[in-house]
Amino acid sequence: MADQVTFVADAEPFMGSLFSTAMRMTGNKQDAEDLVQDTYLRAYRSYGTFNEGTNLRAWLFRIMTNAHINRYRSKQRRPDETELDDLDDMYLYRRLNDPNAYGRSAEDELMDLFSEAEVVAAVEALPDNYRMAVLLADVEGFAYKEIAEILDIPIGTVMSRLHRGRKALQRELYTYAAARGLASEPG
Amino acid sequence: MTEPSTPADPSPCAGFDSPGDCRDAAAELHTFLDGALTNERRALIAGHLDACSGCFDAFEFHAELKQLISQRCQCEVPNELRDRIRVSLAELAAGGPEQAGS
Repeated sequence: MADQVTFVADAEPFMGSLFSTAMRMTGNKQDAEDLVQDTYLRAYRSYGTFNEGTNLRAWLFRIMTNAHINRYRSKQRRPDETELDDLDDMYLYRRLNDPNAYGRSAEDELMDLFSEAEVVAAVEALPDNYRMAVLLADVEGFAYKEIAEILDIPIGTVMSRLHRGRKALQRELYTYAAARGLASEPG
Repeated sequence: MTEPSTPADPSPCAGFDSPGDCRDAAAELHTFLDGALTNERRALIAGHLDACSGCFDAFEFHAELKQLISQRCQCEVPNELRDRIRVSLAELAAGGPEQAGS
């Protein structure tokens, strides 16, 4: 059992991590701030049910993703699952290294190919379910098992959402490279 | 004109589409980068990457992509949010405007 008296000191170090994810989940600062505040208030109220010594960061993320899902359930976009089946796991790598498409040179750093705004837009363009999985794995570094607990879904579902989310993200990023006229249109 | 000789690629990448070690490695690319493989599978793939520069390049690209997404998605918490949350929590603790359990 955790004590509410220590809540602020215990939970505050994770605010940056929660806020970054909230920004990408909601797509705007006002909603992200409201979501993080709501998360801290909910977490405070139920802190007595948190088992000390278990993963507080994962527990807070679970509260936040639940709050987000409840709030935005009606707005959720349903991903077209079959549409991504034709893409392969290395879509972006193959495209960027294909001399007939992009023809990336060895000196081109991936970091320089995409701006911050492009990466953020590509992440935000992902359907909700995929975006959550990608954020929790790639941005927050949670293990599959932790993501399964946070989102309350089986590990197999975590892996398939990550898999599809990453393909969709690669395709989205490639459109930016293509739009810059440096690469041919995806086809 | 002769270029300075470079050591030959010990095992040219067989590509990710034909059966073999390269395709097997590619199939576990993300699980490998997510640190979710068993030690045994991990060691096998790491061994393959040491020997195959084509696969190494593809894995490195995806490791960088993961890092890029992570870096570009970080945001600073606005100070006013931090303050607002502290105040709300202090109010809750004092039995303030919002009732616990509401």
